[in-house]
Amino acid sequence: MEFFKPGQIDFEFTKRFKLFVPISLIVMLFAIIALIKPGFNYGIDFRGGVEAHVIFKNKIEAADLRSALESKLDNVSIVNFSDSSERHEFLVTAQGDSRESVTKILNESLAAKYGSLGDDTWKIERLDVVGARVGADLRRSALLSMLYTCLLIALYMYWRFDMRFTPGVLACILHDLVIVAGFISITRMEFSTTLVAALLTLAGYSINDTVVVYDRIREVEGKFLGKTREELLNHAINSTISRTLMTAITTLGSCVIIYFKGGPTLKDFALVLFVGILVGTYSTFFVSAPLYLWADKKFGNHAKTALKAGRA
Amino acid sequence: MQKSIKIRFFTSAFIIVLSVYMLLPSVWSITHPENPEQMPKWLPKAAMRLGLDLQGGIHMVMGVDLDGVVGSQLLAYGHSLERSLEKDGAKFKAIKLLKADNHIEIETTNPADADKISSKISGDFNVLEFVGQKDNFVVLGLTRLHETEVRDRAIAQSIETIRNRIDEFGVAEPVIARKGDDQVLVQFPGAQEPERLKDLIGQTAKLSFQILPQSNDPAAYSKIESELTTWIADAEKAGNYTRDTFPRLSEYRERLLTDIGAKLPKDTELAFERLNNPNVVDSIVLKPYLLSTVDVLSGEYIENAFVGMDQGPGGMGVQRPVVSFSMNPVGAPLFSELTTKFRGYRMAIVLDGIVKSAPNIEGAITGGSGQITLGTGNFDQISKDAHDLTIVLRAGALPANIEVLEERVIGPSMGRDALEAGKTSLLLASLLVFVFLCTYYGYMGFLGTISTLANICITFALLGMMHATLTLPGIAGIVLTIGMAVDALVIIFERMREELRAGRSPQQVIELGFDNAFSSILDSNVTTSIGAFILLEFGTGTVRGFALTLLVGILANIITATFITKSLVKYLVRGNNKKIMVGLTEKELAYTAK
Repeated sequence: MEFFKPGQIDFEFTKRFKLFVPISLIVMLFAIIALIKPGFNYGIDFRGGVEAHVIFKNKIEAADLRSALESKLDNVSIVNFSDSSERHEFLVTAQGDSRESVTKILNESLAAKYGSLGDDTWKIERLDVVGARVGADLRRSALLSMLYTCLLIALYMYWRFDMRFTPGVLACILHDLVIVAGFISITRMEFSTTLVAALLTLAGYSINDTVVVYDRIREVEGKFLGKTREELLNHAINSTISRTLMTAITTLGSCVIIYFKGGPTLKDFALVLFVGILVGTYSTFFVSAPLYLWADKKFGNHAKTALKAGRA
Repeated sequence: MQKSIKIRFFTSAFIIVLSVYMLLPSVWSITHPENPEQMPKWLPKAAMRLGLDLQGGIHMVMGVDLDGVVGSQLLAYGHSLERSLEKDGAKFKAIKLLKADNHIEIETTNPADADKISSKISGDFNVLEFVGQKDNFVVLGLTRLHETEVRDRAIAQSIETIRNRIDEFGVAEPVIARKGDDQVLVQFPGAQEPERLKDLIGQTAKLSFQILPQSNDPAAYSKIESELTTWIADAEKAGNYTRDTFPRLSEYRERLLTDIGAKLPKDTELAFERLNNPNVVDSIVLKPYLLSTVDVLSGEYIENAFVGMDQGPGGMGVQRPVVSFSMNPVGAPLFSELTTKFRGYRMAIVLDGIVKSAPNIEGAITGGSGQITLGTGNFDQISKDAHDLTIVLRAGALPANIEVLEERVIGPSMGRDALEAGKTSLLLASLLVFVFLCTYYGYMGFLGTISTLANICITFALLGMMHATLTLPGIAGIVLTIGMAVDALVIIFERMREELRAGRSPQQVIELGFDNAFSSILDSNVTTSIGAFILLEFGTGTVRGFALTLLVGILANIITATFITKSLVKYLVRGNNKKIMVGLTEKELAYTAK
């Protein structure tokens, strides 16, 4: 079986750069704006507070629950988690000054409204409490780890390839991360450490197909004497496109499965990876490729490469 | 040639069999989360353990107040410096702790004493260091070396104490580890009483016996007591706060001490006893006490503590649990000395700054034993409190105050749900991938399936050998690893198809397919592992589980993609013209674009 037959896809990617490079830039700009305003909807990992998964025995209204808590706690948010009509589960997040008081207030308010804990009418199945100081520390280290990852990957690529390929890889990572981060910000999903994990994984993973294309360029450039860089690039992308698309499809399949079957905690994680892989595939064609052309002009040792001589 | 292919094939087969054997204990512990210890004897011992998110439990990060330890250590040095200088005729007016930068400020009676201090520092007190001097004031700090030592010792002792308490309480497989400079990570799988455990760990358990000055004269003491009440009320009014303004009693007490400290007699301090409010049910009133800071015996000499029964007030009331303790041979004579000297006085038993009781010393207590009555609550509550107090007394006091910075509690049923979700998604993802490989790449895809299975086995085997913790994000990491493994296979197989179309011989198709794909596979795995590696450094809790499984999975991936898959393909496909087709039909192979 074969979906993408050789030669069937023979797309002149280089001719589309004029269209897609500005599009990428505009999307990135929007993503950056989204990161500034509204910015991440930081979860309690990052801003401190309490997050409780509360299970009720009987049906209750989210509005009732909210009114029971709102007067006592700051920034109360309530998400209905119930996945069937027999289960009554809510995710309650809130903030407060100190650890003890938040937990205490939560317990007391629930007890006042729905009966004391011993009555079994409600219970807290999962409780996360994070101090505000921890949150602030984590925010800084998340940003730093993002930076380190980009830098280290770029360094590695410089060591394995050379300056003609490094800018493309770096731009690819930045492009993917910025757009995915913008996506996280716009959709208002809760930014948690799990999403940091997704972003760091994407940084390494989304450039895999770029690496394959670049590998192919290096391999065949000797055979492209007398032809242009553009022809070489188009050939490299087209001859590896079956691989690029097939790996994207299988990994997207894994993400879909985690999204639907991996339970509530991994839903956002899977969604972010899904979007990231889509963006990563796109950036192989329209971010790293044009940057290769640019960097090759700037950093390529043209006196040595026969290719340029052929074009001259 | 033929022989080396055979050797490689059987080596691969051996690796697969070995990894299956090594992963069995992990499979056991995941499928039998309730009774991991009943594992069959013939299995290797090293197994993965389930993370808290998969079996329920408590995760806490505690901040240890190391600055406080350094401060009190410094004060203690200051006092012994004072004693040793008294012999040389120098006298200090005051020693004050400068909390902001952890220095002490000594006020001397004349500026020349500063020289005496500095000569002591270069001698016996070389753990101290000169920070500055102005007129009669000398500022001292700990030397950097000694400060590091004090901090390290305090955190090591905290961990040790917490461990002792948890061991006595009896929790299976707790994790207690240092995190960063001043934090301790504590995890209990499946623990049932989070609040109680939290109190048990968080309690500093600093016990002391402090004499109430002038309390042999009831009239003098009740005068002081009423003065205290007035001072407190005045300070509250002036500062516009009450007890409820502060989340902790200790913060409230500290605030009061700064406000009225100057009014207290020399060498005394303020402490409270919690009493039931006789007028309002379930509410507490605070009774202020004035305690000596000099006529004190520390609780560190307690050797044993157990729960006993008390006859209630006056021996007439309802029985209630009390904590009885006995002192070790060092403490017993000191206790006897103190109680002899202050016979007829009242002595407060103070736990973590709160007065538990303040009985009269009827006569010298020579045996070094005594009782602590516990404040408020019903019988059950007091029993539990008494039991927990005996644990902390036996395990010793924490050297520093501890604050819970982060706390996560996961109920067992939520853990079970997460484990089910993880298993389902792992199985489904594998199935999807295998169906894809076999239909799309034919016989080669089938071999790819086997090598992907081998990859999963090796990943689990390695994680098991590392005693790693499997979390839900960790399972997601394995699912992603499967994705990476398939990536590598796709690179190889697509390359083979290209070589096939270029009209190469079956031998060459295999050789070139693997050789040319190698560098791309290596690069993509390395870049992904860079992200995972940084995540391992950054991550907390379950996210670290993800990073670890991803890293190990990538390692397994490189082994399978470059060695196992190749050996399988070379040995089983060899020159077979049908199997070499990589899932292409003759027609597809002959296809050429227009």
